[in-house]
Amino acid sequence: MSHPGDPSRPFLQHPPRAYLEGQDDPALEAALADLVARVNPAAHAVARAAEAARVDAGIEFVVMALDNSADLGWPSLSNVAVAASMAMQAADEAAAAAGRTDLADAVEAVRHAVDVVFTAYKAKGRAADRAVTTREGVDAAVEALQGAERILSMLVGDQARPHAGADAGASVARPPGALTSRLLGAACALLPAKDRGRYAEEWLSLLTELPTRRARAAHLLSILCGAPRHAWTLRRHLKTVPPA
Amino acid sequence: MTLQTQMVLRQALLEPAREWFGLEMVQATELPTGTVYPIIARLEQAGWITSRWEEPGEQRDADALGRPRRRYYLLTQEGAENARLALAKAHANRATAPRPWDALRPHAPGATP
Repeated sequence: MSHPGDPSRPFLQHPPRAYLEGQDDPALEAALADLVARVNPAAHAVARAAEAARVDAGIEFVVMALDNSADLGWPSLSNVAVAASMAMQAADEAAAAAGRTDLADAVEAVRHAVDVVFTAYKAKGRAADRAVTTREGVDAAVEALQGAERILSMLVGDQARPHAGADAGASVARPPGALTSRLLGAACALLPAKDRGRYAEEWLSLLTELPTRRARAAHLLSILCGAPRHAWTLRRHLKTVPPA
Repeated sequence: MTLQTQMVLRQALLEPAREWFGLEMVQATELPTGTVYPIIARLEQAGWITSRWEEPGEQRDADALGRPRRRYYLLTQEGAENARLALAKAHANRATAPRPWDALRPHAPGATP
């Protein structure tokens, strides 16, 4: 059933072998089930976002491959590698299509996640160790896919804005100005790196929904004042409270 | 638990099964944005609320065109139970706590303060 294939492209050539190795171990089995439960929906979300953004990153073929491998009972670390590389490709395409340099950081983060995934794939050892690396790979892939989805969704927003003006009578959200964006960026810079993208988008959405410049300025000031506390909250670990 | 956290939880518990977004909570509680978001982050860390991004389809249906997607929050079942307990405990503490200004009130001669 398994075959030597091309060692340089193991994630494409070895699904049966990757599936069979250590498959009987319950820890690895659970990790693979986790993979199917988390990576495939994330990949579908990226595909939907790419379609909405009209970015052709070859995503639909990879999603099809992930679905097929799950149906055939081949959930393996190779799928994570495929998903992560797909995410990197999507992010690259998105950044190129957007022509925006500020997306380079996101692409770099995705690339790092891909490295983590491939390292996990190449790791040899006990099934329990591989289960741990599989879970790390799943986390990295899901994060990468979410990053790609975020970038693609930002593209959708950018593409929607010029068309929105054409709809007379519709309530059109006004994007904040350059100063607002910069101040928002300063507030986000205080936050942990993994949370910056999320809150940048969330706060941008919040400011866009406000009707007047005065309201935007007031909320922006509040965000700036609250950013240090927010950063501290995100960095501080929760205290474990013993059960009563 | 701070009063501001209690306000956020009380607002979220009005309709525990309904999703809400940050601006909605800010407007409902009339608290500053910079106060509400750390509270939301802390509640999310504790697992009392979950969050998700608005789907592109949902956004298209909205009346505001070209708006970046919202982040929606929802109280978890465990979070709702914990929030109710925490609010009840905070209320009980407030009701039983000694009020310092009582000691300053004038008392009738012979009456125990």
